[in-house]
Amino acid sequence: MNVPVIGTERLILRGHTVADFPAFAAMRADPVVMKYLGKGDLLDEEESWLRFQSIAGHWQLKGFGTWAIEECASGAMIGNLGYTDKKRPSTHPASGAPEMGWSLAASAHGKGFASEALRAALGWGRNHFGTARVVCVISDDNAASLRVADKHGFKQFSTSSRYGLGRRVFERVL
Amino acid sequence: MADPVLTTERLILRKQTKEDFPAFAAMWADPIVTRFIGGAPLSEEDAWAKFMRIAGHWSLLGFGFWGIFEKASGKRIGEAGILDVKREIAPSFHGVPEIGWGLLPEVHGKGYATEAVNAILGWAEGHFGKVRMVCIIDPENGPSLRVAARCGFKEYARTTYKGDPTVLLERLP
Repeated sequence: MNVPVIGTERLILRGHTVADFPAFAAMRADPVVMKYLGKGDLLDEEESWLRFQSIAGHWQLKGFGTWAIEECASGAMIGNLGYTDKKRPSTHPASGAPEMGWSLAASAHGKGFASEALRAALGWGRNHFGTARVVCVISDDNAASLRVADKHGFKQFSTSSRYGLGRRVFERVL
Repeated sequence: MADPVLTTERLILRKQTKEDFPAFAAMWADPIVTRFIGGAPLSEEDAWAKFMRIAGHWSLLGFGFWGIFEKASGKRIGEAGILDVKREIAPSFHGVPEIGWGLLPEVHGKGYATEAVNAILGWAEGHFGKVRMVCIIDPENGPSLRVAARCGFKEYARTTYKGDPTVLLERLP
C-alpha cells in the first residue's frame, strides 16, 4: 500500500523511504532522542535498520502505522509519529488498542512539532478507525511528551514498568 | 511492483500476509527452529516485530523473504529469501545480497531447502544480475551447511556474530 500523506501548517507526514534511513539512524544514535525510548540504549546501524524495516512493514500488513515527519521549511526528516499494533502481551495495560507514539530529532524539540503532527494523525485516525480507543505509553520523567499527550486529551489510566523504568499508560477516544 | 511468486516441483514461495502470522509465530516459538537461527524462541511480540521487518524489507528494497508453502498440503513450512540487514559483522559484506532459510523440523531431510534456495538463486539472477551472494551459518548446523554446498556456496571466512561462532560462505557469479 501507499502510505497516506498528510500536510499541516509546517509539516508533511508521509511514509519512510530508504533515503530517510541515515537521518533515522542518526536519531537512534542520539542520547537526547533515545533517553525515553525503550531501554534508553543507543542503537547501532544494524539495530536501527531493524526498527526502520518494522515501521515500513507495519503499514503493509495493517494498513496503518508510523509516518515520517518532514519539516516543510527545510525538507528534513525530523522525526516520526503514528499508530502501532505491537502485539504487547495481554497482561500489558496498553495491549489491544492502536498505540500512538512519537519521537523527534533533538534539533526539532520545543517547537510544537509533535503536537502539530499528533493533531493531524488523530484526525486521520478518526476516519480510519472510527471512534476507537487509542493508547500511548510515556516515561514518568518525559515531561515534554507528557505535556503533548495531556494537551491532546490523553488521560492516564494505568502504569507499567519495563527494563525497570516507570511508564504511564494513557488512553483517549478518537 | 508485482509480488513475485516462485513455484518449484513441490513448493510455492510467496510473500506473506498477516493471515500467515500465526504459523510464522508458531515456527519461531520452536526451540528446534531457533537453535541455529536467532538462538532463542521468540515471544509473539518479538515474532511480530520480525514479521513486520520482513514485510518492510520488501517494500523498502524490492526483495526479501518469502513464505514457503508445501504444494501437497498447502501448509506453511518455512521461509527463505534474500536480505540486506546491514549486519555489524567482520569481515563486512555490506551491500552484498545475503540468502537465508529456515524450515519446520518436521519437513527437514526432504530436500525442500535446496529446492527453495535454487528457485531463489534463479530469481536473484534476474533481479540483481550475476553477482556475488553470501550466507552465514552456525558451524554446528550440518544440514544447512550441506544445503549451501549443494547450491554452490563455499566457505570464505569464520567469525563470531553476536557472540556466536559463524561460518561465512559465498557464491561467486
